Amino acid sequence: MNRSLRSALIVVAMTSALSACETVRPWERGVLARPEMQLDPNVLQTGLYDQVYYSKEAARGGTKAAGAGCGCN
Amino acid sequence: MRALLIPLVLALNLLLAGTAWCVGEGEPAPDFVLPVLGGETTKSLSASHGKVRYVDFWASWCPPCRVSIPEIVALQRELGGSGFEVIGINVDERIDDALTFLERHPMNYDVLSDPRGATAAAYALPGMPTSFVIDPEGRVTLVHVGFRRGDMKAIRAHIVELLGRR
Repeated sequence: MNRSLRSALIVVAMTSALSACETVRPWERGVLARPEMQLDPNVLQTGLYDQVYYSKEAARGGTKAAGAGCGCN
Repeated sequence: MRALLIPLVLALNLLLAGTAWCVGEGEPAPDFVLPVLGGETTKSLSASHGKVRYVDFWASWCPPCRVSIPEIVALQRELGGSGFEVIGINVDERIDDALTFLERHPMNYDVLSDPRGATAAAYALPGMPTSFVIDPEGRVTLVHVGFRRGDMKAIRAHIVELLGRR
């Protein structure tokens, strides 16, 4: 068998095993969307801290990233 | 070229690992038999063969689903009858969550329960909510992923056109 073909087949076989690394499907995100799964347990308090931080820095933003737990849309 | 072969194969294989493709427009809709939420009967897709169907996958934890429900209820009220039917499929893992939601947001169409996600997997939903318009022969004619206020306008127009062709 051609050497590069054999190498390619080995690579295919090895990487195919990676399909076992399952991702969370969109319909399986109910548990992730629960309030206790939030990274930030106290949204109001964080908002207050952010307000103080922005005042001290005289600049705002950069402390959050967009996204929600449920993966909707 | 030969040196590129292995990295290319590797990249493609990594990309495709674990990928599932959503049921697309023009493809036959996979049949299902699911229990009616909060009831003791079951319902299948094939039971309503000959009708235009709007199959909506939703969950109580999904905010866009909450936006879509009143518009789907209005759609069923307006077009529901002998030629058209809405079928809701709830994918909540905890059925109690779905029942509580149903109490707060009553639906005027059959809602089925798929807590293990078997039907959701058969349709390989790309997001939540996802809805499918299925023609009387059982073919998917429209796939709608996500939901924003006003999206129903285009979906309704598509369904009305399908109903006109019957």
